[in-house]
Amino acid sequence: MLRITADIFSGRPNPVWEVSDELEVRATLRALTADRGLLTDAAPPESGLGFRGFRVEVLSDELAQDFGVDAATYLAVGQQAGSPRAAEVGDRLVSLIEPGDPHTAADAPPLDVPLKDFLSEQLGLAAALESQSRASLADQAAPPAAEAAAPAVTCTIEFGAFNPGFWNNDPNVRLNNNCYNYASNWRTNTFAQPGRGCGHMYTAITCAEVTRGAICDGMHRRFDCFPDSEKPRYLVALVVAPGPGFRDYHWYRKQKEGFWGHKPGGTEARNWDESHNVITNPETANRGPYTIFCGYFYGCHSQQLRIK
Amino acid sequence: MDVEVDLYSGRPNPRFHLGPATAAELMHRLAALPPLSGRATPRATLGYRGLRVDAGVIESTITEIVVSGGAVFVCDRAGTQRVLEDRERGLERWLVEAGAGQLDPNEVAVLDQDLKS
Repeated sequence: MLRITADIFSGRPNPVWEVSDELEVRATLRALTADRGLLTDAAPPESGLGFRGFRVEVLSDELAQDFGVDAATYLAVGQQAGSPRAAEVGDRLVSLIEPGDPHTAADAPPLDVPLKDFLSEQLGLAAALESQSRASLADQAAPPAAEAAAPAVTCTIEFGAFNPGFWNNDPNVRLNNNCYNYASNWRTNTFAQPGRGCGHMYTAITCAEVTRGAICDGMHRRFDCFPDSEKPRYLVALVVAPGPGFRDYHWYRKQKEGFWGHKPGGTEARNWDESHNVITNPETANRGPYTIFCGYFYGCHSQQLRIK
Repeated sequence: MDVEVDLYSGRPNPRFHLGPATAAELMHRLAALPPLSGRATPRATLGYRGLRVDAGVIESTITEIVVSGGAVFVCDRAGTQRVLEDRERGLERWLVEAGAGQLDPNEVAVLDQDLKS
């Protein structure tokens, strides 16, 4: 279920509506997450008066994990919008208002027009401001490459429950399975190496080479979706220790509980970083000498079977 | 007797071999270590953690020795573990020196740096 709040008023309570239809909820989340640049944690501090955006609360933990969003996220519209698609996605959110829904606190004064019409009109005004703002900025700077390459798809993936005992209880299992085994959630007892299973192991400890090996084994880069037949499709992250001296790679896997698990070599699987904090973001976690973040990938069943 | 340097997360750890005389010296040094007072566990950080000695080949009762951060964990065939004190990481330092010639110089530099800290 989703709870959507239109962040538009200053004095009176903001309109709130809920969406319970599962298919509609998932379609909406797909639209929201197709362009991550649209979403922020909260209203941008520069937001002023008028239609500022939508606060979207995901009321199911599983849904939040499926789409890789926090329990609450924010879609800014108008001049603070993250992209021109903001108004289009905002329109979709407004369209989910059902006649007769209790939109606001009971003691709030009524609007002169139906809420849906009112919000659509206000959203149109905000979009006009947004396009004016972009037109004035267009000549100043091209969008960053990363933004231009933002993915337009959302993949359905799986998350495994954090189960360290599977890796830690038997010393032989613990010693003979490494971070790549853990990321793949597949015990080979061979200290698996990216690319060894497909016959083309990495030839250097660099993001490019370890990535090449993992993709050769069957992994995909994030947003390059796998079909359902490849379940389980885990979200994993690759990092590299570049040296000088210490050169190695390391993997993390996102867990059902929302944090990330990992297994440093032959040591115990865990969900905490070098500062002993639970890992909620592998990009910002304390990773010791593994200072280069290479990116996110999806594992899959074929890759599990192939790794050696 | 083989020694594994517990260093990497993804790559296979480097190993070196101790000849009979050096292995005997290791057991002699081990016998001289006092028990550690208090609790200890092997280091579990990312990066260099310690040395794991596969003692099962030549020693009749000891199966594994882990030398890590000032403590030595000795496992025997009965499954019991003794924890000894490695003052100023002396045994760890001696083992690294014993194996340095068989390791990549970059790896030796990492171990030396860690032992200085």
